[in-house]
Amino acid sequence: MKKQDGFDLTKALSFLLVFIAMAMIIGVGFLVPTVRSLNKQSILLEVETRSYNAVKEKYDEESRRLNTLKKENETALTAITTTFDAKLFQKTTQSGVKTFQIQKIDESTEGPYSFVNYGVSMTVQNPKAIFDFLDNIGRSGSLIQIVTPITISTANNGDIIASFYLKAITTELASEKSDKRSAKIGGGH
Amino acid sequence: MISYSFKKARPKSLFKKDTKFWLAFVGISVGILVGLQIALVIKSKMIMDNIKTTRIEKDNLIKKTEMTIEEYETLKEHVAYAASINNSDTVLRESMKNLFEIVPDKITLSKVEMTTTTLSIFGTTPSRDIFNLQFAPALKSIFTKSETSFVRGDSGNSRFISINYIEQKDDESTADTAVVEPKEALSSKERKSTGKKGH
Repeated sequence: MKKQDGFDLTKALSFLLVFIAMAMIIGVGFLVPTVRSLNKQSILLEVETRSYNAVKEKYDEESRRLNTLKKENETALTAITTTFDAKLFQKTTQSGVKTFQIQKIDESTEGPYSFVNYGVSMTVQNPKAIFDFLDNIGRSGSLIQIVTPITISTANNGDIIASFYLKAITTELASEKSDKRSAKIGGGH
Repeated sequence: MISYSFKKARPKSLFKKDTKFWLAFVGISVGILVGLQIALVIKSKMIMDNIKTTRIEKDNLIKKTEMTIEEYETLKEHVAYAASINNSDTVLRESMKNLFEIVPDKITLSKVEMTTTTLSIFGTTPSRDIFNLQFAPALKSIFTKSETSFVRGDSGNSRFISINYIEQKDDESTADTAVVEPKEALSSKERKSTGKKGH
């Protein structure tokens, strides 16, 4: 016979049994698989993070290499991407030159490069002016190749007439192409 | 109202005290377990999102690395090409300067034509011997083949046409100019007499 307010062992055991059953169901059915899955995911995240760091390191190294190349060859890269301005060139190359004519002959494209050929004819008073002129070609800011045949002859009045060809070479900035593609890919780290 | 009991009437709860305790115990414990499960699921989802983001960022970074490498290679080619053009121009300029330096004082040039493989020189010389002694050796030392013809002029001078050829090697595709090196071409005696530029 049980007491009104006393400890009911049967009830206690029943509740304990119910509690153990529910805890077992929750533990074995849900908690344990979730913890296992979480462990696997943690390992996977660690692997992915390590892989990402390796890729990031490679990217940083390549970026550094590219920037160094750009920095060391700034003049050459600027020249090869600068379009040759024949009119401006004609104006800036007058020292020691009596007459100067530059005429566009043709233009072509080969691979990434665009070529514009010019015929040049000039009259000078001494050969030094020709050499000075040829030396100054490199300072025009564009990439220009002196193309043969070069003909130097003496006129009746003693002036020297020189005629030759110039090839202006340009190409599209590689970084511009890259920037366009980067914009498509989107940000990252 | 008439009362038949000595005890006062009081409200009776649905569950007994110990039942309430057990129900509360089981309820709270199950609640904690369910909460733990929910927390683990949320954490799992966060890790999965993190993995997904890391993978996307890694893929982007791989693409950017490939582009950087590609850009580096392209720029390297541009730099090499620009250097070869500048080198070619320098060689040509030096060749022209050197040509004028090796012309002896007594010989006057009237026309010079320079191509990638030939150098044609037109001019006048006081005599054939002066040309052959002072100018021809320098030309012969530079060019692989040198042919000169003379015509006697009115004033006693000889007009000459010298055509000089240089063999272009296949592997020297960038150096498309005839290189004239005065140091090799000239003897010390001849070098002294190259003050005047012939034209």
